[in-house]
Amino acid sequence: VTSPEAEARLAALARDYALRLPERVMELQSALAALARHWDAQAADGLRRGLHNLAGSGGAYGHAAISRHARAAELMVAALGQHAPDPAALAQIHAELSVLGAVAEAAAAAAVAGDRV
Amino acid sequence: MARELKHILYVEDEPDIRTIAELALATLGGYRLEVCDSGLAALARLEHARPDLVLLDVMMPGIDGVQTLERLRALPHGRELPVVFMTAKAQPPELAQYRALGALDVITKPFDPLTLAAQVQAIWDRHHGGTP
Repeated sequence: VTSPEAEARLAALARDYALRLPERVMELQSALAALARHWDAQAADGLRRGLHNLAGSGGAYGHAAISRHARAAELMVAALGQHAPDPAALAQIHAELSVLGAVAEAAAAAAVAGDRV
Repeated sequence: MARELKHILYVEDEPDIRTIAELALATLGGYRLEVCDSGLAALARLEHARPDLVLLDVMMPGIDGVQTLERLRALPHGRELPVVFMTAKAQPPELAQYRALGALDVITKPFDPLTLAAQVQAIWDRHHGGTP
């Protein structure tokens, strides 16, 4: 069952979600940078949860690439374990989050462009 | 006679996922939906609420979905309560674990909000004698 009202609400939710994506990814990038400076297993788990939530929500809002890259980064963080990882592992996650950031920026830009159509 | 699915309790910690699931299940699906943001909140709600079905996230802070289901099964009216997990953690060993715990089925995240209600209804029908 769909209705114009429900479709409009879905579109509004998707727009709001897309506009918040860049900031959300930046927070994850900041969390990773903090971990690189000072390893903290609890903070790493927080980063993993943040990525997990993004992976779970992205596709539901029409952003499959967000889910895909967030999931990839989540699995990388989960594989780090409890102890300080080697810099190469962190660099790999950093690269994945950079891609995620670019996808988030593109999604937000598309949402803004949609406003202008 | 087949039992009808009307009332769903949905347990999810992530606000963005809760919001879109509410739209999918209540607005589009027409179900009476109650939402809890944690396993403990759901267990407290289930002291009084009698939903037809529980949709349960797996990875949540506090007690996770698996622990929530284990505790739910210990409630007097929780033994037979149908539960469906909604999770991105859906590798074969995890699916086997969920089913061993007595979950009806698993819906993988991310879900499609336009088809989620139909997906839930299809699971319900398979297990409660409705139209498949």
